[in-house]
Amino acid sequence: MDGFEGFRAIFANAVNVNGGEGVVEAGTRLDSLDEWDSLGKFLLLSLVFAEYEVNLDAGDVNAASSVGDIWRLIEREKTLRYVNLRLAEGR
Amino acid sequence: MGVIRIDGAAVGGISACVPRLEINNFEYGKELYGDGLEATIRATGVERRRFVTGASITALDLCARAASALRDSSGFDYSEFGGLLFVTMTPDFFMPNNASYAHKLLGFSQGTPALDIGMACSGYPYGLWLAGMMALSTGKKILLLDGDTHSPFISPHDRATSLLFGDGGTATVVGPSPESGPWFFDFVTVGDRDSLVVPNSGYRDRVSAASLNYAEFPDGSRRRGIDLRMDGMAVFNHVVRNAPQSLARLMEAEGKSSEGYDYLLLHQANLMMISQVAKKLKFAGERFPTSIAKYGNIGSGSIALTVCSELEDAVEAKMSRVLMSAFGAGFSVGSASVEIGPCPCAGVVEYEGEFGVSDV
Repeated sequence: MDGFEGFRAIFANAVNVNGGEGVVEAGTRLDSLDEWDSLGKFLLLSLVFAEYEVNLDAGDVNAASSVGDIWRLIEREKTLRYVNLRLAEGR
Repeated sequence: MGVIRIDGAAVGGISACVPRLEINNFEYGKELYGDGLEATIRATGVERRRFVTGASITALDLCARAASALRDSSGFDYSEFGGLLFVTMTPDFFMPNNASYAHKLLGFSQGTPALDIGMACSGYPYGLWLAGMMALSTGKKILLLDGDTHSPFISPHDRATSLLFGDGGTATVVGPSPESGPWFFDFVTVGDRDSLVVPNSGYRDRVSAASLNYAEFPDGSRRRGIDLRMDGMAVFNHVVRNAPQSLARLMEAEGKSSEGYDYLLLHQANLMMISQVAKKLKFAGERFPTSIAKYGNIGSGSIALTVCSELEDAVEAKMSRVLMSAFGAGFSVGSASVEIGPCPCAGVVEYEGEFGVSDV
């Protein structure tokens, strides 16, 4: 699964909820989830790193308010990495 | 600073000691983790760990017992050693240090130095580095003790920490050995005292009657001022930013790829995190031994405990080139490439008796 679908499953795994549509959506508020706590956040960072090789910043994650905010952080890091790779190749 | 090199030091023996009381996390975590317990145990990797009972057994007891087991199995005479180092965050007292009493218990000569090193989980490579230099400057063997007892200050109501930590002590002999291959070290110090801290543990925010009360935090966890507080995300960020790079610098200095090492030993912080670091460096299977399922995270002694638990036969049989990295409060990273074995390994012994100190 690519894109947000793949991330939805990873996120659901980290916070131990049913990951089907309607439970975890981009608009789902993080503070509505019981297990969005220190452990859930840690598990999410580990799973995201394993899947995307992105080391999400703790401050950015704490500032996020929805599931979609976190997905955008991952996409931003992936884009930055792509741009840096291209820049390095061009040198 | 770059990679540091020591020529002519070798590990001469290694052992570990754990308390007898075994905690089964599948039982211990039922109430706090509910349906998420199995997934949490799978991610952290900690199935069981050992706890000292009450306050009666300490890191000093466990380390001294590890050292006496090594003496009994190998014939070391500590009165001929050149010094003693004790890496711990959980000494018997702020004053006096642990090392001086361990020195007495183990029969060291009064004309030899004994000092504590106050390092958390990153401490073992620092201890090896200092022990290596002491061995070279004295021309004698050095005893490196490394252990902690976390159980007295881990809140059973804190989901970030309550399943992770265990208690244990280790002993490593480091001696001069002109024939041995070089040791390499790389250190990183970030300067962070928020992500891993015991708030009321020293003189900044002193312990008071209020330190003993459980307070509830926004994530629902409850802990006391005397309990460890861990920001798991910040720790993860530090480890991923620093540990692989530190190990890569060692590999570059040695001109080796991962195939050039027999084993990668990582501080047993939690399985999911260290597996990611190992994967990044292309270590897996037998070349990436772990002991976290059996003993949890015992702090800075976890690498030596893993050697004793998982590599006892290999250490006794052959020389292995070992890459290691340890990371923890401070924020601090220590990495090393050293040779271990062939040398005596007393494995992991259980602490006999209910009370310390300390008939070694």
